[in-house]
Formats: sequence, structure tokens, C-alpha cells
Amino acid sequence: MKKFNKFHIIAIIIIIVSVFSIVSSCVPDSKCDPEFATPFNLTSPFRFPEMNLPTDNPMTEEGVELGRFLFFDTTLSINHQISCGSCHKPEFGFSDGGKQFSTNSKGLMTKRNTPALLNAGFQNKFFFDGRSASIEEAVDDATKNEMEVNWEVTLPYLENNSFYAANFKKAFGCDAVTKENVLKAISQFMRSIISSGESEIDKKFFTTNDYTQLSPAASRGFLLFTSARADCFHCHFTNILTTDNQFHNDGIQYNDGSFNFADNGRGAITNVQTDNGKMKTPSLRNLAYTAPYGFDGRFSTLREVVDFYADSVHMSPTLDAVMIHTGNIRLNLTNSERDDLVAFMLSMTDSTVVVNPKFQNPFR
Amino acid sequence: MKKLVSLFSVLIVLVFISFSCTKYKGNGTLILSMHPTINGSDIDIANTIYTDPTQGVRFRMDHLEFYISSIKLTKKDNSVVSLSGADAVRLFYWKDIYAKTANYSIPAGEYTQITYTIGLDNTLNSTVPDDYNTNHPMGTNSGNYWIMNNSYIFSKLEGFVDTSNTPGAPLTYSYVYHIGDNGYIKEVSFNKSFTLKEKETVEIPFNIDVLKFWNGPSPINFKTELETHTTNKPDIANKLLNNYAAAITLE
Repeated sequence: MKKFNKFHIIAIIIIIVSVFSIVSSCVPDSKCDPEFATPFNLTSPFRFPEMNLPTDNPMTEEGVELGRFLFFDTTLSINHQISCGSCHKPEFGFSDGGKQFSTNSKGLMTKRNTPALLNAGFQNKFFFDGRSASIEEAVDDATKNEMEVNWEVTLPYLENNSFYAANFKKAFGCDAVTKENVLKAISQFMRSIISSGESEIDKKFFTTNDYTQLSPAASRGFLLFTSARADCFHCHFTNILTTDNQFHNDGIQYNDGSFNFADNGRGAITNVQTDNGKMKTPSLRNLAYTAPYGFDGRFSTLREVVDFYADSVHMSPTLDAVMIHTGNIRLNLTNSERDDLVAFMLSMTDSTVVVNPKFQNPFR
Repeated sequence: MKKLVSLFSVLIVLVFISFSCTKYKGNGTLILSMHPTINGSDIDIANTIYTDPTQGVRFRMDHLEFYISSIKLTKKDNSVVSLSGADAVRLFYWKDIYAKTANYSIPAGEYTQITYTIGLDNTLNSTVPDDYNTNHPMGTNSGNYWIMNNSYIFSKLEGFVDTSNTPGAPLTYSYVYHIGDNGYIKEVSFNKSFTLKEKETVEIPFNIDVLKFWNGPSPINFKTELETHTTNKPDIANKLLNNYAAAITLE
């Protein structure tokens, strides 16, 4: 038998190294595989429904946390001064802290009041006119229109930032700093912002189905709220989220009898004139933090809201049919009845959500 | 030789039986489509003002919405394919957006009759929107539940009416008919022969004669009976439910 000489040994080593190299190149690098990210435990709290999650953006611990940083990072915007969190502040239920309109990256005022983002993950239409069908689309819209993100600048910034580079990798794998993944991460964070279970209505009504467990004023308010007389329930009491997620013209805007409104709302999206003036029903949860109210923020207080619906609803060709089914759009509520309605709405306040450390600005 | 012939015959019979047993295998898709019409034309929701000559009113329909559930499909051999529970529930609606069709995956075969329920039975109605995925027809995004009544709203019919029947006059009054409470359901059956093959689709179109909502077998006064939320005016709800059943026919 022929003996191995040193050339044979070198050749064998080269072959072994080559084979190992080829094999290892075929095996995915586990560090690049987002499957290794930790699934986010999105157990719907307290009677809340199952969230409809997009299959191409499963929530992970890493994705949610990355999204929190991106949500509050002003560097993303074109002027480096505006983040999502600039207008959606946690301490105000992710609305804009008492402002009727918000300021965009150009320093211009928005057309509508900034909506609160709490429980956004349970919805399937976004903005008052419902122009976005997913949170990802809504974030894309906001980064384009309010923040004017210049992706050619923002993406290199994120890639060259060691914190972001590492955390994009953790959440989405290698070469993951893309616009799509920025939108996905922010969307994951937004889906995690859930408020329920801690308010008076959750603890005392939704657990017992007995409205008398609420405070006396809130109990009286409940009866009015769910009566045909005040008729708030059609839009706000069809589920635990207190929004039917539908579009209605609730008579806020003055109308001259035509189908045109100062803000056509849903109609501007569907291009159907009978949708003009319709806006998406907002949730009534955490109103204590989300003033002012109305799609254009015209009401400073909840009492102003109740007074308006009681006394001042505007007739128009697209006014919701349920608001005039008795042939009358005035509610004739007494002072104390109006106070009771406010008390009932405030029973939906969850004081824990605005201080939850998981939702706070990490740059502070 | 005789044995061989017998064996061959048996084989042929077995092959034939086997073939006949597998004539219909797998599932196909059944589409139920609904077409609300007035005088034979598709209704122009929330836009066109129509005249109801029987009642002498002008009206606009802004919103029509109803659940169907508990589908039963009778086969040629009289066996019945039943689809029940929440998975069989579908919501048809015409408002700012439309849902005119409902799809079901059903076994391939030859069918002769279709039956379904307008509304939700007591078992389904004992659930709440929070029990479902947000986008399920009975989920939170449907907006069809009364928390204080512990009931789904099985159907909604809304719009505006001019009871003076004056051309050009504004539609002063609204009409709002919401049906929903245990028992306010109606089973409807239609004789319809169709063959569904594996992976193929059959559509069964239904016409909804809208004027029959008021002028069906249980007439509703379109000038004075303009509202029901079922429990407050159960007589109107019952009449409308009868009229729903009469208004829906096979195209």
C-alpha cells in the first residue's frame, strides 16, 4: 500500500476545508433568521377579541421593542424634529395633548385632530376617513405626509447606527434595514398598545353585565347612553372597544342642504357623494386623556360634546338615519342627564395605560 | 377459462363501482350572491330616490345588511350537507362598501335544494363579538351587536323617505329597521339543481325585491311604521322578517 506523502495530506486538508466551506454556506446563518426572534405574547386582555394579525408581520418581542424606538425617534423625519410620538403622546392616550390640530414636519397644521392610537390593533380601517386598511398602510401614510421621511437619508442613518443595526438584525434578520421593516416594526409596537381591563366599566360592568355596579352617576348615564332617546349606543356600544369601526355623519359639520361639506371625510375616499361628511366612529375609551374631541377637535370638553349632540346637530342629506328616526334631532336632555352621560364616558378611563413603561418614549 | 371470465367480470364491476363511488370527490366552491333590485334593476344604494307606487312615497335606501347562517344543501340522493356554527355565518351588506357574495367550500356532488337561515340562532346569539377574530362577520368590526340587549343585530335596513310623495321635496323622515333578538330568524328554502365538481365553482344568484320589504305578505306602512329595534316594536320586526323571506328569490 502506497504511503501518504505530504502532498496527499495537503490535498486532503484542502478537500475537507472546501467541503466544510460549501456545506456551511448552504446552512442558513441562524443569526440572520428572524425565526429566532421571540414571539410576542399577545394574549388579548380581558374579554378583548382576537386581533387580526397580518401573516407577513408576526409580532415579536424584538420587533415591538425596535418599533418603540422608531416610533419615538425624531431623526426619521425630514426635519429631524417630528416622530410618531410627537403627535401621539403616551401620557395623552397617544393623542396630541390637548391640541386641536398637530404640526407636521413642514410646520403646517394638520387638517384633522390627531386620533388616539389605543387599541388600534383591533381595527381594520385607519384615519377618520378610513383611507388605510392596515396599520402598516397607516404608518406609511403618516411617514409620507406628516413626517416626510426621506428614506434615502433615513435608511443609511439606521444602518450606520450600531443600536439600530443590531436590533433590526434581531427582529428581522440580516440586511433588514428596509423601509418595509421600519413600517412593520412601528406597526408591531402600535399593536402592542392595548388598554382594557383596568377601567371602571371593565371591572364593574363588563365582568358582571350589571350596570348598577357603576357609580350612581355613571349608572344613570349608562341607561341614557343605551336608550333610544340619547341613542349613543348605535355607534359606541356594539362591542367592548366602544366603536363600531364604521363611518357615520353625526351632524357635526354645518351643511347647506347640498352633498358638500367643508371636510367630506369618507366620501373623499369612496368618491360617493352620499358618503360625504361621514367619519369613522372613535373609541370612547380613555377620553379623560384625549381631549379635544370630534374629528376636527372642535370640542374642548366632554360636556361640550354632549351639549352639541343634545342641542346642535346639523341636518344634512347624509346625516345618519338613526339620528333622526323620531323626526327630531334635538335630545332635550336636562343638565344632570348631560352630566350623567359624561360620568358614564369617564367610567371607561384606564389610568394604567398612560404610564405603562412599555409604551413610553425611550429617548427620555 | 370460465373462471377467468368470471374473475374478469368481477373486476370490471369492481372498477365500475369504484369509479361511480369516486365520481364526485373533494370539495368545490359554492358562491351565494345577493342582488337587491327595484323594478328589476340593481338598486343604487344611498344615491337614487325611488318611488314606491303601492305606498305612495319617495325613498332612498342608505344601508342594507343581514346575516345568513346554518346552510343545508340537499343532494340528489336526499342526503344533506350541513354547514353550521360560526364558520357558516356570512354577512351581506350594502353601505359605503359592499359585500354581495358569500363563499362556502362544500363537497362536490349533485344538489337539488339549498336552505339557509336569515339571522342567527340562539346558540350563535349567545356569543359576543369579543369571542371572535376582529374581522369575523360576528366580530367587533361588524358593528352589529347591542351590548345592553345581549343580542346581535341580525339585519339593518335604513334610509330616508318623503311621505308626501312630492317630486323634488326633501326626504324628511328616516326609516330605521333593526331586527335582532332570540327567535327573530327565518329559514328559507329554494329548489335548485346544480352540480358541483371538485375545485370548481358554482354561483347561485338571488334577487332581493326591495319593495317587498314593505309590500310583502306582511305589509308595513311606509308612512307611519318607520322604526323598530325589535324589542320596542316587535310587530314591525316580525312583519319585516316575513317580508325578507318573501323578498329573496332565486334569479
